[in-house]
Amino acid sequence: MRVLFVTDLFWPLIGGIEVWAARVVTGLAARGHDMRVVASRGDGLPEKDTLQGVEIDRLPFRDAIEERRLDRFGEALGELRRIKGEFSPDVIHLGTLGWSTMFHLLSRDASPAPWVLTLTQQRLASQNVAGDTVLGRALDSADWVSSVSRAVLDQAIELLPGVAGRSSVDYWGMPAPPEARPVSCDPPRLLCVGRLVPAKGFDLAIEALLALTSRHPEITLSFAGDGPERERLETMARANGLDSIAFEGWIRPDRVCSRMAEATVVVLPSHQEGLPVVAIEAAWSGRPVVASDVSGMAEVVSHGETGLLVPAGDGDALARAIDEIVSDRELARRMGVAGRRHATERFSLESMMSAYECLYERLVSGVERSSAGQ
Amino acid sequence: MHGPDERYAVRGDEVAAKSFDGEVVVVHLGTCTYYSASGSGADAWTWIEEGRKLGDVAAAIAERYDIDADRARRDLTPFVARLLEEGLIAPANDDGPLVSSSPSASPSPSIAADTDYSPPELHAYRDMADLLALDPPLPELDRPAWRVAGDDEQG
Repeated sequence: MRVLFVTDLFWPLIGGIEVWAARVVTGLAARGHDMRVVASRGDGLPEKDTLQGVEIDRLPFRDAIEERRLDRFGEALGELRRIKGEFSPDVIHLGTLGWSTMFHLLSRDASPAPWVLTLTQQRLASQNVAGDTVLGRALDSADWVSSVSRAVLDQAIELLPGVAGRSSVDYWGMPAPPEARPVSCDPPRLLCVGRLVPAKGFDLAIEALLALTSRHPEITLSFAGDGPERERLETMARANGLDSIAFEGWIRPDRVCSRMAEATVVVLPSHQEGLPVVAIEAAWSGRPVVASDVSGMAEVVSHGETGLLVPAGDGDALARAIDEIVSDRELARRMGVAGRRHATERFSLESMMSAYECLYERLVSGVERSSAGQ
Repeated sequence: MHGPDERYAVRGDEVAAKSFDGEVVVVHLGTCTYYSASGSGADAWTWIEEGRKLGDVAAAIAERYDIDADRARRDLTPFVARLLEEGLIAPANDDGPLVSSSPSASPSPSIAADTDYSPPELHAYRDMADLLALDPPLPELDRPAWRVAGDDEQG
């Protein structure tokens, strides 16, 4: 199968989509598929690159849209058309809904291949899906819509009911890390992982730590990641005299699970999530999760079994939930074991690969398109 | 149809456009809306942008696509109305910064020869800004490259 994977975000940048996309592409290539990637140019990365033998072209999607460089627009569109024609894919898979989507829509004449759109956005409900929008055109014309979570797909179907007949939930998977040692609560170590942006709600983790320090004097909190909120969070920690907070900066995706294995609880106070990759990594690492109950979270964190869910934005509830777990070593260990089992059942790399393979094959054979048209 | 002697100018303060390979892409900088047109739409845009009178544009389309002149005029009317409605063009002043209108029907050399006719159409893409705000990529972050054993070196 020849698969052209088109995405705004890709390896070697770090982020949920970037890491997932790299896993899909290299995993399918390892299964014998002929993969080729078109990604957005930027971040000082080369225009041509390879990842484990897979050819990557980085086109100026971002410059064309963000900088409104129409010369770049022509270059990106022309190159995408050329690559589609030259590679002659059996299937085109759009990994993101963004800059590259418009270029794909404009260059559809260059390839008759069926195409899949992966939806990751968590706030689709308020979007305009009129026929003159990128989202409307994409949802309407995609041969298949693959969503990272039930919650995201439900929003898409609410916007455009026709999506229901040609869509699926395909959970992201990852390679199983080695079994971690049992959870230790002595001392309690909290860990937050991800981009330090307001949507992650990491200030609530600091508030929770403040509330828990008197009851658990040895408790610590670490942030693995970076972003525009870092300075504010550091200031908040200093202002509250919390020297038990560490900012570790980015850690490599292949080291996240080993880092999580050193923690007692992984904390995700996000205000929004499509599918929280960090929660999947925590489950694989055998660590309980305390998270806000936002879109997609409950599909990864089973409340009371693999972690605890609290209302979004509620710092007191977050602190109480963390306290419940770090105060009960047996509960923490039981949740860790259940998390690993949950990850094995739902978030394995192999099952994700098989799901995409099956989808591509059905699209190429025309089964899905003809049934969707009935 | 708008008067055959009327000419229009692209609203250069708010609009940028570029033609390539038989296609034109236009962006309204104020609304961040993108537009595309191909075939006769790209031709019409190019000739309007050059400052030709609408009558000349219609004649050029009729000649280029070998269609009836009345049909070309009829099809051009809603296209021009749409460009006006979207704020992409405005009536040109007589002393406006336009090139002299030529009745020549010769297509611009940048436009590919494709004589399959369909009425000029403008396709809008209105939601790029909204879409990116949903889950904005953060390319400005100083993120490390993630290369592990087995990955290829940068080419």
